[in-house]
Amino acid sequence: MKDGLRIALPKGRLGKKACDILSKIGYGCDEMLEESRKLVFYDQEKGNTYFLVKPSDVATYVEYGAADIGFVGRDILLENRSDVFELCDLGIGKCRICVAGERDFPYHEKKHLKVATIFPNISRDFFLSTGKTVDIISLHGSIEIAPLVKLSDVIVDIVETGATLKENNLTVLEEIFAISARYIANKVSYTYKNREICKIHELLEKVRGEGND
Amino acid sequence: MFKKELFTHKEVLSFELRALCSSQGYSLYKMNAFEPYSFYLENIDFLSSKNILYFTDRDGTLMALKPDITLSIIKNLDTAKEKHKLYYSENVYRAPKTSGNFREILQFGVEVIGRLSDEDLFNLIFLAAKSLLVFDDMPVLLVSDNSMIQKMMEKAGLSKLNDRILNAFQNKSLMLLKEVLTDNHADQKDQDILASLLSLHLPLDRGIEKLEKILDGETFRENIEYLKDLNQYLKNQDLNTQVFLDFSIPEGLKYYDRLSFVGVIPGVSSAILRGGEYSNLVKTKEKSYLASGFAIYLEKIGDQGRL
Repeated sequence: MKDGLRIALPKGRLGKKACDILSKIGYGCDEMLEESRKLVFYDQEKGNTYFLVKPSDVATYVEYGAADIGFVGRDILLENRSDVFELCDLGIGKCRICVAGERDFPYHEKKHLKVATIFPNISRDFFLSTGKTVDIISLHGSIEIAPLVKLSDVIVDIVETGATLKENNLTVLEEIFAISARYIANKVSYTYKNREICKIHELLEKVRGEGND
Repeated sequence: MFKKELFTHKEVLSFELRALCSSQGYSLYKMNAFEPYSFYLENIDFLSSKNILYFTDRDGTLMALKPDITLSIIKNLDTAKEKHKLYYSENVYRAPKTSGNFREILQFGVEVIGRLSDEDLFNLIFLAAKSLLVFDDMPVLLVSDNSMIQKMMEKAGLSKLNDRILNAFQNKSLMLLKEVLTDNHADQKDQDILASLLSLHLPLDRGIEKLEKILDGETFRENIEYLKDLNQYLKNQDLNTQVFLDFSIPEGLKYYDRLSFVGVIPGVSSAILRGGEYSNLVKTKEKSYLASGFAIYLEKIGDQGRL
């Protein structure tokens, strides 16, 4: 087996988009595009290995060197405070991290908030910078319910179109920042596999320049 | 008689590092006393792990189990001596990110402190590069000039301690760099120079050539000449470690005020050696002193070899 790159990709929608981009720049393998439960794929020709992992774990695989490079949302990088190189914006998976709540909730007048979120670190950092004090309630999904059942005053969550919020009678109260998928690399791999990592970087920038987004 | 099989892998590595330091004129420093907890709190930014294990001494003073050795060396320095060339092999007590709980960690470190010449400072970097060969025959030492980044940041109208800029450099994130510079209305030329510095990753001699092309000669002349002298010094030594110029390591910019460096080896996912020049830290101790040092994290190597 050639000592190629080990590439971590997120399972799901973002993973499919990442696979499409990889195949545009001559990477990936056909097997990955087929419906299966397989999680590891080997590209005989280039000697690269691809792992499909939970989106929130991609940065961990890269940080600890199990993968040399990966594709991951900026939200995951900021939440995990991952120690990796964030080489380029892929221009896919674009959405926003927002504070949301019920329409009539007096968000701007409140000095103290109960916040439900799957992003406790991002939320804590953000509210610290605004001078509000918060109680953070960590949840793992269906965050929109929290204000409706009075578990929290507001939520901090990913907003793409806002449709889910609307359906649950919630609205964006404040945008924290925009997010999109990033091309990341392990800091040691960047030295030892620099040529290949930079080659992919250049190709990704080129595809993005051609209007990938 | 010295029998290698009687010692753990980490101990053998430690002995080899001690022999190397001895051969370069460094002497062993032994830390025999505890320091007050408050002493580490005052210097918390210098510590890689902010959690400190403390206990109450018999007289009621809150003391700490050493999280670091360098601070203690500086504190207890014999100022009557012109130059201190020291190395240590000590257990430190930290809570690594991966475990969350405190652990006893064997750390090896080297420090040179005093009225130093450039050659003294270069010799320490040579020793760092040479030390890496104890672990692998293909190590790389990555060197950054933090003062150069500080100068550029000031030129671009940014506070030299702008955390977002440091994050951008640490993660080679051009996106974040652009975001911060745009927010601060930095000049386009300064933005381009900072972006070039952030992306730079070249062997030292080629890196210096690139710096000469992108930087204004007068402002950065001293920095470039210093790097050239370092390059020449390393070339004159019998050294098989590759040395790269890479600005992604301005960690601890508050303390590492000129060159800083990290050492990597294949198969270990993060740097096993970190160090740099921290003269600002000893200036309060003795005005004309300079200082530089590095630590090697033996726990990353594991008892049987690589993790």
